Amino acid sequence: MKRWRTQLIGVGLTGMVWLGYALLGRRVARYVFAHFSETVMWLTVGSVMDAEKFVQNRLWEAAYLFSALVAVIIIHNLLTGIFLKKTSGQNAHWIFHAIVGFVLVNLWLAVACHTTLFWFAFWQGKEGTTALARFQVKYHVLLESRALPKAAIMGSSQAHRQVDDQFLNDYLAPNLHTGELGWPGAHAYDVYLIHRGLDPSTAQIIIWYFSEADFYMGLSGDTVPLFFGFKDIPDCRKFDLEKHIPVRILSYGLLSDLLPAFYLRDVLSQRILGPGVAMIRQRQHDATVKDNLDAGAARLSRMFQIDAKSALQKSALASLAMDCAKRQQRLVLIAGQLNPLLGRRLDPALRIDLLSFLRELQRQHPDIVLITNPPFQEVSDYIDLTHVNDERRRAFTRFVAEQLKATVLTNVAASASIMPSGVFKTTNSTP
Amino acid sequence: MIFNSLIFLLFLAVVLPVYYQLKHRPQNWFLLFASYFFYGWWDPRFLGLLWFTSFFDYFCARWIDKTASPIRRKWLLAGSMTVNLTVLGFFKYFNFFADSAAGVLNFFGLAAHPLALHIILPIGISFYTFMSMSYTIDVYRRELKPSASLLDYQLFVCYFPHLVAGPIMRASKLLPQFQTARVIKREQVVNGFWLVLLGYFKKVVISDRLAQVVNWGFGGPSAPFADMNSWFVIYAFAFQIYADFSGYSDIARGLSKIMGFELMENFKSPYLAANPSEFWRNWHISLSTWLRDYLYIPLGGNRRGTFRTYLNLTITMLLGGLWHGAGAAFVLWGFFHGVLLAVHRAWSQWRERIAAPPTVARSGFAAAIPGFARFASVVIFFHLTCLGWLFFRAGSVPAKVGQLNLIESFLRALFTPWQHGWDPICWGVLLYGGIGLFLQWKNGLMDRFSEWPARWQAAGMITVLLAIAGLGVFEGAQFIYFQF
Repeated sequence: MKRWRTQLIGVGLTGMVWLGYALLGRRVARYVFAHFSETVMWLTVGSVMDAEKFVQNRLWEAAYLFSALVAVIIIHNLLTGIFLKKTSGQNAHWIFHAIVGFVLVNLWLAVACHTTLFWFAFWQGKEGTTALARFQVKYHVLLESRALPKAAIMGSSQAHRQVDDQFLNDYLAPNLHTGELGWPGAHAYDVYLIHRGLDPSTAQIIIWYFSEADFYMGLSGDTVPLFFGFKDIPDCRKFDLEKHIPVRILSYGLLSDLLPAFYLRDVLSQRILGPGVAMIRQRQHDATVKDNLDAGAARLSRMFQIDAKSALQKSALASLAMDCAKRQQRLVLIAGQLNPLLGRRLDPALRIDLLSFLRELQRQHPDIVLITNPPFQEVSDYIDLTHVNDERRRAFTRFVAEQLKATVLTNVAASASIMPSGVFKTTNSTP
Repeated sequence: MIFNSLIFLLFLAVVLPVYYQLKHRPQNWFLLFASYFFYGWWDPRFLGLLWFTSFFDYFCARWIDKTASPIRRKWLLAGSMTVNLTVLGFFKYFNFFADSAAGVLNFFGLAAHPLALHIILPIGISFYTFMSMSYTIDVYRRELKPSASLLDYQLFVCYFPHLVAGPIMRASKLLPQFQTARVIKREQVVNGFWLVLLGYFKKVVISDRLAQVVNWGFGGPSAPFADMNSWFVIYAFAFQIYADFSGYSDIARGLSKIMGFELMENFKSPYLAANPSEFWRNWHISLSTWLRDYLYIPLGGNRRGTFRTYLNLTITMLLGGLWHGAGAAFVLWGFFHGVLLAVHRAWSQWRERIAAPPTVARSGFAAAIPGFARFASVVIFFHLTCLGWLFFRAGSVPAKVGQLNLIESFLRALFTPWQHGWDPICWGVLLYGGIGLFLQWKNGLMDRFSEWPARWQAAGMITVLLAIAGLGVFEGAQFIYFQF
C-alpha cells in the first residue's frame, strides 16, 4: 500500500483539480476577467475576441498541465518499481533516476509547449519577450480563435512594422481576424519553414510583406535551430541546404525537435536572466542600425546579390505557394520596399528579377493575390533602414485592409469563406 | 576541434570505446594518434611544430642525463631553453616586439615600419612548450629520470585533454601514469563523467552567456556605462573567464579520469581568496606552481633579502602576464599582480612584527571580528582582481580600439557614484556570478561526486543536464585560453 501512496495521492489531487474546474471554472474565469481584464488584454496583446472564454481555457490548461505533471511522476515511480527491483547494484540507481528524470521533464515540456498558458509564463512585455515566446503566444491565440476567416501576417520585423494586426482587426472586424506570426530577420526560407510548422487551421489567409532583403541578402537561418525538424530532412536535398546552412545549425534544429528543453533554451534563459542579458545582441544591433543610416545603407547594399542563396529563397517561396494551395490557404504577397536611402543603392536588376519571378509564380498559382506596387514610402517615413514610423504604419495597414476587402473578402460576410482567386494591382501608387 | 563542438563528441564516441578494448601499450599508441588527430584538426601544419618541440626535448633530456660534465649539462640545458623560447617567442611574440620596436623608433623620429609576417599562433603553444621545458629542467636537476620510451614521452606532451589549454602537467606526475597499465575504477569514471558535465555547464551556460555581456561592454571604444554599472561588465568578465577556463580544466580532468588518468586540479576557489597569495594558490594552479618552481625560486625566491624578494615576485608575475599573450595589457596585468603580491608580502611581514598574540580567548562580538575581517578582505581583494581583469580583457581587444583609452574610460566610470540606476544586465550577472561563487565554495564536494547520496547524484545530474540543454549557448565559442 505504501508503494502506491504517492500514485493514489496524485490521482486524487488530479481528480479534485478537474472537479474544481468543472464546478468553478466558469465563475473563476468571470471573476478573473472582471478584476484583471487589463492584465488579460495586455497579455494577449489585444488579440482576443472572447476574453472570458479565453480565461476559462487557460484554467483548463492549468488543470491539464497539472495532470501531465502527476502523470510524469507516476510514470517515474512505475518505471522505478519495474526496473530497479531487478538490479542489485544500489550504486547505479542514480543513473536510472537521472536518465528517466531528464526524459520525463522533457516529455512534460513537450506537452506544455502545446498550451497557451505555458507560453504566457515567458511573456515579459512586448519589448522584453523573446521572438519564440512572442511568436508562440500569438500563434496559440490565433489558433484558438474561432473567428472565420483568419489571416496570419508573416515575414520579418519589416512586415510587422508595415502591417499592424490590431489595427487591421479593428478595421475589418468582424469580417476578418488577423494575427501576426512574424519572425525578426526572417527571409523567404524562414517564412516557408515557419509556415510548415503551423497547424493548417491557424489561418485561411497568409499575408506576407517582403522586400528585396528577403530574397537577395543571403540566408539568415535564424529560424533553423528552432523550426527545422525531422519532417524537413527531405528539404535538405530539395534546397541543397547543407551548402548554405552549417550542419551544426541544422543538427541543432533536429536536437530541438527531440529535446524540448533545448528548443526552449533562449526562452528559459530570458525568463531566468531577464531581458537584460538575453536581449543584449538586439540592443547592439539596434544601436548600430540607428547610427548613421547613410553609412549603414552603403554597408548593407553590398550584401545584396543574385546568387545560389537567392535562388534558394525563391524556391522556398514557390514551395510556400504550393503548401498554401494544398492547405487551401490564400496567399497575399505584398512586394514592398526598403528605406529609399538603401533602396536607391540597390542594383535595379534585383527588383526586375524579383518581379519576374513573382509573376511567373502567380501564373502557376492563379490563386495568389499579388500586390506589386503598394504606396511609395519616403525616407521621412522610416525610423531606420527597414522599419516605418507609426503614422506610415497606420496608413499602410489601411491600404492593406482596403486591398483585402477588394480581393479576398468581397463576399465574406455572407458566406464566411474566402473568395476565389484574383490578381490585384494598385493604381493609386507611385513607382 | 574544440570540446564544445559536435565533432569532438563524435571523436569521443569513437575514441573511448576503442580505448577500452585495448591493452596498455596499444592504448598508448591509440591515444597518441588520437591526440595528433585532435590537434591536427585545427590545422595539420601545427603538428610540425608540436613534433619538433616534443622530439627535440626528448632527445635533449636523454643527452643531458647521459652527460656527466656539469658544464656540458648546463650548456645542453641552455640550448634546449633557447630553442624552446625562440620557437615560443617567434610564434607568439614576434609581431608584438616588431610593432613595439617600430613604435619606439618612430617616437624618436626614426621612420620605421613594423615587419608584417602574418604569423599564425599555433593553438596551445604556451602550454605544451612549458610542459616540455619543465621535463628537461627536471631531468637536468636530476629530479626525474628521462623517459626510456619515446611513445610515453610523446603522449605526455601531446595527450589531447591537456594539450591545448592545460593543466600544465609535470612529467613526474603524468609520465608514470602512461608507463604503467591503468586500473580504471568505477568511482573514477563516475567522478570523471560528472566533471565533464560540470565543465560543459560552466562553459556553455555561464561563460558563453556572460560573454555576450562582456563583448558588448568591451565592444566599443569606451565603458558602456558612465557610472558604477561598469563594475557589472567587469564582474561578468571575472566569472566568464573563471567558468571558461575552469570549465575547460574540468572537462580535461574528467575525460582523463574516464580513461584512468589523474590530472592536477587547476582551480579551487580563487574568488573566495582574501589576498593575492591565496588567489594564486587557487587560480591556474598549474601555471602558478610552474612559475614558482622554474622562475621565482631560480631567481632567488625570498632568500636574497627583502627588496630582491619583491623584485622577484614582480618579475615572475610580469613574465606570467607576458606568457598569456603578446600585448601591453597582459604585461600590465602581470605587473599589477606582481605589485599586489609584493605589497601583500610587505604588509604580512609588518603585521607579524607588530601583532601581539592574543592573551585571552575572544568571545561574542570580538570572536566574530576575524570572520568579518576575512569577509571584508575577500570582497576587497575580489574587486582588486576585477581591476586586474580590466587590463587583461582589454589585452584581447583588437588593436584598432585604443586599449589604454578603453581602460582609462573604465577606470573613470568605476569610481563614479551610481547615477543611472539598475540596468537589466546586472541581475543576470549577479545570478551567474552567484552560481560561480557557489561552485568555488563547494569545489571539494564537486570533485567527490561518487560519494554523494544517490538522491543528490540524480538531482545534480538532472539539474546539470537540463541546464546545459535549456540554458546553454551553442554557438561553438572557443575557450578563452586557447589563444594563449
